[in-house]
Amino acid sequence: MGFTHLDTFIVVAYLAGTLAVGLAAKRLLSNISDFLVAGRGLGLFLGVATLAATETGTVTFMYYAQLGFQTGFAAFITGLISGVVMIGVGWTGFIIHRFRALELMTVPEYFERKYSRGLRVLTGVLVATGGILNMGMFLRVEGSFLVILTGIPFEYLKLAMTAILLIELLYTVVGGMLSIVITDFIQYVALSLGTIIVTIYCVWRVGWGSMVHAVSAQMGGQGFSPLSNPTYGWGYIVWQVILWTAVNTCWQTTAMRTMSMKSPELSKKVFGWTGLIFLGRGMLPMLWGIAALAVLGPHADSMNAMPTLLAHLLGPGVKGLVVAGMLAATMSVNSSYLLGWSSIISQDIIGPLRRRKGQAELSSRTQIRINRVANVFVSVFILWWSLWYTLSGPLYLYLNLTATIFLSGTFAAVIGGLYWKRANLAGGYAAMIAGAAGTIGYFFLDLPATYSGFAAFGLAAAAMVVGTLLGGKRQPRRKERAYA
Amino acid sequence: MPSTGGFWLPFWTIALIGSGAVFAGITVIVAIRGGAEVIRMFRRVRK
Repeated sequence: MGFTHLDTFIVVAYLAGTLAVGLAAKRLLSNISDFLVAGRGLGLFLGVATLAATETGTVTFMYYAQLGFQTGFAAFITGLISGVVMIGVGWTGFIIHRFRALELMTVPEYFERKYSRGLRVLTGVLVATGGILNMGMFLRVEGSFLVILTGIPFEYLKLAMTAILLIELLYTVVGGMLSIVITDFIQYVALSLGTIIVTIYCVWRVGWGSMVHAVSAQMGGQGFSPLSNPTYGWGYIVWQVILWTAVNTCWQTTAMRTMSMKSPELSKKVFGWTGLIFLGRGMLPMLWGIAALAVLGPHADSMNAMPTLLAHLLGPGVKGLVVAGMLAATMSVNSSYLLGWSSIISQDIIGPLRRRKGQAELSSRTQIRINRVANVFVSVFILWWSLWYTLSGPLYLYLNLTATIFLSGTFAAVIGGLYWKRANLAGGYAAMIAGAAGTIGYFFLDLPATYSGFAAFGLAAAAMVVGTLLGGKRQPRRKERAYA
Repeated sequence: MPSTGGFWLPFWTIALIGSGAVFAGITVIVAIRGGAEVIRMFRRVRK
């Protein structure tokens, strides 16, 4: 069934509506704090909506559906871990409570307060590298989803990718974080409705029994048990718990939400609520992948199976609603990520390097201008990377490992800085370098993702301890003595 | 039918129903309460 005029009308009306709201929100923007962390004025429900929308994109649905297609119900363990860990972070306030209390704008900013300006710049470079490589696969996957679902011929994929990028660039550059949180709210509602509609359609049209039978016939017990499935096992479970704790606390776009809340207590509540959403955010798209396996069989392309199924399954009008919902997801994630990574370039690389040279502090207006130029630079790079890079394994693992380039070291150095009085600069440098080096196994030596991910986090933690012990004592800086 | 992993199929069934229900419930709550927060934000600026 093709993409009807009704579907097109729904999608165009949605895009025009959110763009108008994003532009209206520009009136609220007055300084760099508004631009990057929404003036630290977010309440509970807007905080939940913006955090959930930021971390739920079309790419999320695609990689989780691919895991469901490839590993059946056993994949649910990944969704379960992401939600439970987030609830745990919200409950304990681990890292996030202290981060919000320090009134930071970016994660590397903490490194200058605790360690040194040089470590902030190194962290900024690693965060920007890993973050931009991570985002580099988004456009291709999102473009494929839209092309398949709307029935546009595949030769227009590049055009679709460019169009997605231009729209999200427009309202990120124009409005900054305030626009993003307000449009995020609309997008959260739209993407949640899309998620619920697709799930109902999958269960109704494909049938629970068919899905269970397909997984059972293709994979046997391994399709249900994450302990006997070779993709998972205990090693994977422990690695994912560590990784998701790091993502929830030190991932720049998530941390920007923590820093945007009205108070540290509120940021804990937001994480608790969003963790509950994350359970469904993981498991529901995995179910779509399993439905695709039941309908299309095991030989279909694992990445494109889910959108192919939806193109067959959804009727006129419903398809338009789902495409609008997925576009909503795409816009909210990509605009926040663009802002997140470009803010690292402007705040943590260019700014500190200028101060090191003895140049004057940039005005808020100039910082926003640099941020916008960085936005455009990041956009051009990810468009090029999307077209050039060929993905060999599951997308989920590629995203995990590109994130680990900086998350492993950042996580160790942040925990050391916040919870260990002896942590010092030598430990901070050692953690960042060892963590990044640990991912080499995956990218260059074809090591399994679990080994490489474990190695990166293990090396970073060990380097933090050894570096600190060998580096001697250092008095913590005055500003963060309360948390040192 | 081949194996369905013993304990795991009922476990995932409950987890899926629970997470789906929570997802839908929170969507409704956030839509209503978050919408009110957005309106308050715009009103503050208009004043």
